[in-house]
Amino acid sequence: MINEINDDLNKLLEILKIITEQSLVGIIIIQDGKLIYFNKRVSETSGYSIEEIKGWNPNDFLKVIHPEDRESVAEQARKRQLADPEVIDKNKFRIIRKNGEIAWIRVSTKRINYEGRTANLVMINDITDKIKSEQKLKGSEEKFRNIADHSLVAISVLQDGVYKYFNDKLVEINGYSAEEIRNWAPNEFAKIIHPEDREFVMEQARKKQTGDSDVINQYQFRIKRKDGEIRWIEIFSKTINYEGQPADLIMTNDITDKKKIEQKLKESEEKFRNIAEQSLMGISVTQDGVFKYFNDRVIESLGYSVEEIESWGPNEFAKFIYPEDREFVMEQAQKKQAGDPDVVNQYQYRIITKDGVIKWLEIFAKTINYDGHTADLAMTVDITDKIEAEQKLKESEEKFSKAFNSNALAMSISTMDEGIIIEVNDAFLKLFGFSRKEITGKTASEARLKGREERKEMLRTIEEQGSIINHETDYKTKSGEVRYGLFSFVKILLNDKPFLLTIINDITPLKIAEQKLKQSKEKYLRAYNQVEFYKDLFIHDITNNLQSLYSSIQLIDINLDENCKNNTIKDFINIIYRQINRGTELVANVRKLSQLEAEEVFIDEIDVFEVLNRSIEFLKNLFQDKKIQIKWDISSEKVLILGNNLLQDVFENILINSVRYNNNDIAEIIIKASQVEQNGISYWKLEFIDNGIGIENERKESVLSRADLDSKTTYGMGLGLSLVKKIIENYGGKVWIEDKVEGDYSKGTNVILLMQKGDH
Amino acid sequence: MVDDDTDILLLYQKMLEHIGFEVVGTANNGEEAVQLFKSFQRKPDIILMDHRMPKKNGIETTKEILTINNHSKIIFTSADSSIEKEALSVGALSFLKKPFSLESLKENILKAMISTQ
Repeated sequence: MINEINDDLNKLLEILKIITEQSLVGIIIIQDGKLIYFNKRVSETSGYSIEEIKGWNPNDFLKVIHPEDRESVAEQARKRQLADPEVIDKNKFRIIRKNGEIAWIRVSTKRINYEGRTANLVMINDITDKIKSEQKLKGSEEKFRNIADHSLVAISVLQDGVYKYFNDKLVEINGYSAEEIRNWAPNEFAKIIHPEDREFVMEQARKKQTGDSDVINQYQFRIKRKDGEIRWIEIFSKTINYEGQPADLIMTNDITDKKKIEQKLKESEEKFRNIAEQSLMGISVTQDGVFKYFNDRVIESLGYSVEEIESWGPNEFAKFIYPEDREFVMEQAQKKQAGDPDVVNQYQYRIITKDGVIKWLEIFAKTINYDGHTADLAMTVDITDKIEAEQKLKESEEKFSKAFNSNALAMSISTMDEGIIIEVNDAFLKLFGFSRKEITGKTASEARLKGREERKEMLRTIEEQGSIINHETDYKTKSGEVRYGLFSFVKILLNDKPFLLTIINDITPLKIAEQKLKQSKEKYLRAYNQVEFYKDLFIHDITNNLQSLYSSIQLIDINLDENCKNNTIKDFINIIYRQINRGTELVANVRKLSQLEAEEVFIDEIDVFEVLNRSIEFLKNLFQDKKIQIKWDISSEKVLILGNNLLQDVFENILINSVRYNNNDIAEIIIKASQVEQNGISYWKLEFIDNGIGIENERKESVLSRADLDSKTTYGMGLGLSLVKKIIENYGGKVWIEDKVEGDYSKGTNVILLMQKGDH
Repeated sequence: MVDDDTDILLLYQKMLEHIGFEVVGTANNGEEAVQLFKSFQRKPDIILMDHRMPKKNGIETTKEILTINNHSKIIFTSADSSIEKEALSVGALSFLKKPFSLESLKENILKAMISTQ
């Protein structure tokens, strides 16, 4: 039994030995100031060998303690020996290992009974790794806090609706004091969020505080500071574990200024874009050979669509540059895109539009920075019209120059103010007799061409009216000869300066001819008036003579006793009557013919029937002892023609001839009217067909002209039919004579009038 | 009777007397005619007025006489038929183109006599 107990005891001791020797805790027993026991772990912890430690007394242990901790450890050892109740059982301090390393140990001392006496059981734990780890963590925490506290970004930790941590920047951003923030009730922070953003922000905060993974980590929203100012902030937040629970780690950045700058930039960009889009210039940005930007004007100029331009490969735009200009333009574009300073910023070149139209552009281009790279900013203006205008101006100037120098009219160009002649053409020199050297550089008054006052007056008129055209005046040549000219003065611009162009049309020969003509006219007028006077006198007096003769022969005829009148006397009386009638008609016809030749005949619409009836009445009165038969062959009720009061003379002349030159007992006259069209004009054809003696064919035309005056043998009386022709032609009509029976003139005459129809 | 030709005035007078009219006065121009007309207590029934006369022509004389007495009956005579329209428009009753016959004169006077103007 005892052996069994001894065996068990020995086993127990063996186990204890194993435990102590293999323990990770260093074990030391000290009694009466002597080292009674220490295990292997103590040697491992200190770095000293077991043999070295066996030789130590308790004080020798102090030498391994770190000098800074040595005094406090000694103090605790003293207290323990003195059984001081304030002694600390557990202590931790540093030791210096044999190899010089510093190690942290935690020491627990327990008073024990060893072999019947009090001893100290010291347990040593090597906590170097733990301490180092703790120190590292602490250093990290301090570093974080330091960074957080002094961060330019507001950092806060939101948990359970309250800020568990926040730095000064958050205070600065929202305007509330740290004290106020700490005192906020759960979710009271919502009050600083702008109402429009509040719902979203609170939802995100709640999710992050609960560890929800469906969150947005970065967003912007507005807050309302304590002072009421609205500011924009941007947050980066995520769920973290804070003190064992999920929390919302928030980094807040005040981006109000950034927002304002962005807004201004946006507005600025919009303004620029607006300006660019509305610009009358084509604006484009070329980079890496392609158009990065172009406005509508570029599209209009080129004629290509937006899609076409955007689809162009690098440098494909060269295709719209006119071949002769392409090399230079492409070189300039490439240099500007590359940022080469050796460039030409402004020049003109030609393009070919999609439709094949050649246009002139003026370009103002420079290198700019665009999206971080150099690019070619080009502003173009379509100057095709300007170029064409310049070309026309050039051509016009050349034409003017040619017209000026080779003109048959004398021309000069002088300054507006002083009137100094700067240029004259050859015609001028020839007209005035000056050499070019003699006249250029002088004023007109110096050259004795015109007076100063006259020039001042002329300039006033030009300023008011712009020019003076064909002002007739006299002038003197170098030799003093007075000539006449039509002077035209025109204000012209040469190199944008006003000059006076003077054009002189020498009318001296014309003037002389005019003067001669005037003298001739005056002479003619005097002669004409004289003739008129004599004609009037003649007509008046001869008419009075005829009237006296007529009245006298009538009174003789009445008073002469019928018995005294033999046939011979009667024949004489009848001759006198006839001659009076012939004289009367001659006078009347002379008057009318003269009137027709001297005046413009006024023509109106005339009713033929009215005039014919008066003429027939006159005819019957004239030939009271002759049987006259008038037949009408007119189907229209009204015949209107263009004529005037002389028409009655026409009809009377024709009718009188029909009766007078008629040997039949009854003079028959058929009056016929029909409508005809000739050359688009409507006429009334009036025919007077008689049974008179007729007119031979060879005289049918001549009786209508004055050339027949000498022939009075048969048909025709004085100026009668020539008067008819004259009147009818004045009306725009025609007259001719035919036989009543074709081929036999002796059966009678048909006098035909073709007269224009009246309007109605 | 108004005419600048005294022979004509004499012949007119003979012709008129032959057909039974009395000539109450003659004038050689327009001015004389107006004065003579004014002098008449009893105005003549008919005035035979020539146109072309010295001092005052027939048209002017006709106007003045009709201004004095708008019931006067004036027969206008002239070789110039272009004056007919104007003569009638100023108030002449008829126009006799010179030279005219005794029959025409008689007819015009009779027509004038029975005229209500």
